[in-house]
Amino acid sequence: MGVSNKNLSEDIVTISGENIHINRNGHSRDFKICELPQKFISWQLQYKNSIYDAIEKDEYIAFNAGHLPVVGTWNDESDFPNLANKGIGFTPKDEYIDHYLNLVESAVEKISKLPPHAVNETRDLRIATAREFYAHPEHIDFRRLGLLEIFEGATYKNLVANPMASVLWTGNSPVFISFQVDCVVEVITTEDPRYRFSWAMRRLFEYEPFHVVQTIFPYAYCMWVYDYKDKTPKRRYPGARSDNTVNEGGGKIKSPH
Amino acid sequence: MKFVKRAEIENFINGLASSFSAPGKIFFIGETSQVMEGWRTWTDKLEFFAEVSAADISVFDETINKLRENLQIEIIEESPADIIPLPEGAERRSRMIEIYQNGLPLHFYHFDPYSCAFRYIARGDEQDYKIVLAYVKHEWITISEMDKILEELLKSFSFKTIQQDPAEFRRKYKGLLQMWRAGVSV
Repeated sequence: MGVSNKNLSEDIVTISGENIHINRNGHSRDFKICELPQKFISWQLQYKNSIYDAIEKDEYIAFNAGHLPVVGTWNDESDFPNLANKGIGFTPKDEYIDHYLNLVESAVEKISKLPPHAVNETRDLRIATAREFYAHPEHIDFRRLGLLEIFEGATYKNLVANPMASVLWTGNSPVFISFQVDCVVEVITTEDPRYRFSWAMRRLFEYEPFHVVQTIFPYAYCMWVYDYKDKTPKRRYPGARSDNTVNEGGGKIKSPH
Repeated sequence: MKFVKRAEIENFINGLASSFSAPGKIFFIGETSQVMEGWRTWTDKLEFFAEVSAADISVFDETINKLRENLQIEIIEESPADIIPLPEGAERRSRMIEIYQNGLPLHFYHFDPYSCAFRYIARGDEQDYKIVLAYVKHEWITISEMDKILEELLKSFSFKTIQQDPAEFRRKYKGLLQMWRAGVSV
């Protein structure tokens, strides 16, 4: 990595190129990092664009499905996983992170000079800054996700003990696109550029009505993608495949009898 | 994932025009048309359909394969007609891309937006609805005309083919209309 990866979980999580090594309770495991799938990325980018459109028009945002998935974590003592909706976003690739940090932190500096309630005065700058990042999707590292920790509750305790998480997104009607993404998690501290980027992006929209205002973010998580599953609902057809479903590709509907 | 922006589509057009000298028609489809028109800045693949004479097909396919290699983007050749019966008047409604008609034997068009819309509704993935709503937003299609065309077209959909199951299509189309009425952003 081109950025510092000093982090709270470094004793058990080591990132090396495309590989993640976990050493936990005397047991070692290796995971291969992969990129998020095309369908998911397209949905995410379009969804973000629609949210920025809504913020731009100062419209009511009922829910931000692209940004607020359910995160599941667990540890060795857990009988059940801990589930919580968390705000998750992307971070730039290492080679672009300084550029975008400068862009977003400069915007934050400018808006910080005005009172927090001056959201209307700063909206154009905030939206333009966020859109500038997403206008260059080729600069985004789609192998990892960024997430700020606030309460140091069950998610934090689980991730320090067991740096793995499953994340489930579900989109809106009529498709209800749904993806589970399994991640190995680095707990990162405030000086890490990935933390700073996630914090600054959140800060751009801190005082919009859909955010609970927060001032304390002790850590962030860098969630490295290990696996994913497309869980979008689909119709079950009587067909020839072993899972008895037929996808895109001119499948014929066969009689069940 | 490699993003396809307008520059990549132009490289495709120029590469094709310079290495394939036979006459023919290239029709862009869906997000590829929409990137070309500047409605969106990227797509994840270049989608087109080609009409070339049978004698030129192998050379054409070879040229496309070379472009795939050179441009390092996903290039998909597919016609909406591979999935659904085309509505009447599809050919007439294709849109010529004026800037690429300067005396070349190969001509470039956008495929009939109504055919594209019905093809995407038939698939019904998340981004498919957005593609159709973008066609509506930019007034390449209207809801009333879609209603009118579908009255006839749905009669030719087959219950035996997943993509054409008329009941499933109607459900998806209703979903699209609800999104449109709700002002879903594209």
